[in-house]
Amino acid sequence: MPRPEVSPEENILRAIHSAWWDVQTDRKYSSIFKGENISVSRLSVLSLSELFSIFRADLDTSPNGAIVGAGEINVGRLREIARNHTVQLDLRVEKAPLPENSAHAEIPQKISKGLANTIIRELLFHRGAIASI
Amino acid sequence: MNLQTTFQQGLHIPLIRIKYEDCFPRMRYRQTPIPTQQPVELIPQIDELRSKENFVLSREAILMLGENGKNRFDEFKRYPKGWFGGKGREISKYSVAVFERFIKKIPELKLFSPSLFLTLEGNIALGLDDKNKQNIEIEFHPDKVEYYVESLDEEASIGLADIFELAGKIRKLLQ
Repeated sequence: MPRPEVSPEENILRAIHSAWWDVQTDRKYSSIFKGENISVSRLSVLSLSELFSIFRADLDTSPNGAIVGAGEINVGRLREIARNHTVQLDLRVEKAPLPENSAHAEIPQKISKGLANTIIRELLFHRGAIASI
Repeated sequence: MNLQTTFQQGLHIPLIRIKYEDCFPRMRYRQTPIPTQQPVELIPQIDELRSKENFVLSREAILMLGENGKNRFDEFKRYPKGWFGGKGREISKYSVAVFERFIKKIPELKLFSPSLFLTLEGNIALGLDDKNKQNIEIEFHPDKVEYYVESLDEEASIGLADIFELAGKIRKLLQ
């Protein structure tokens, strides 16, 4: 049974691991969005600080590395980027709530390195749980 | 050696009896696990990285990555299986071997201060900007190299036998 889609008006957040963001050089890697079944979270359901708390509890425990930030993007803009990419892709963001994260959603389609890099350039980055970049 | 001499009566010809295994000692093989897709030429480097104690970057790699990159590598080595919510794999020693082989062919990468990354598959990767500040990514799999060049809008993977060719392509973008 297909999962309901997240509205294009909503903004979503992607947790960024230290393995994919070299904070010292401020360089990001395509793994932030490359691959299939990418997990994101809906800012319409939980706030930025609530989501960071969840990210830290689930993903950020020694020696597993650290969540150094998160990238935010509008769902409609994300879909537009994928449609206009060299290899067009009809991206869907599907609601997939979890017990530990009621805002959880997934992007089931396979995102390439090139498309991931294009998406990353459009992200609004949040460092830690406080200020945005 | 176990010798037994036999004198044939009347002929005084000593016959030396030699055991088969003295001539053909049992061969001993190192129990070295080798992935089936790995080219033979990389095996010496892989053997060097096989033991945890030898899992260190070469001097050339450290010079290229700098202190920050080396620190990131040391951190990646500590990630257990299942990092990032169960999805991440441990760093691949074979990926590191391929990385080491590649950077030896293009030492000028050092001038562009590449950053080191780790993928969920356990592969290490480099990210850098070319001379026009456009993105280049190179991911080192155990059996191939995957790359993305923003200026060419090109994304592809090549076999390990073509690493030299990829190094040449990247070199042109950096000059």
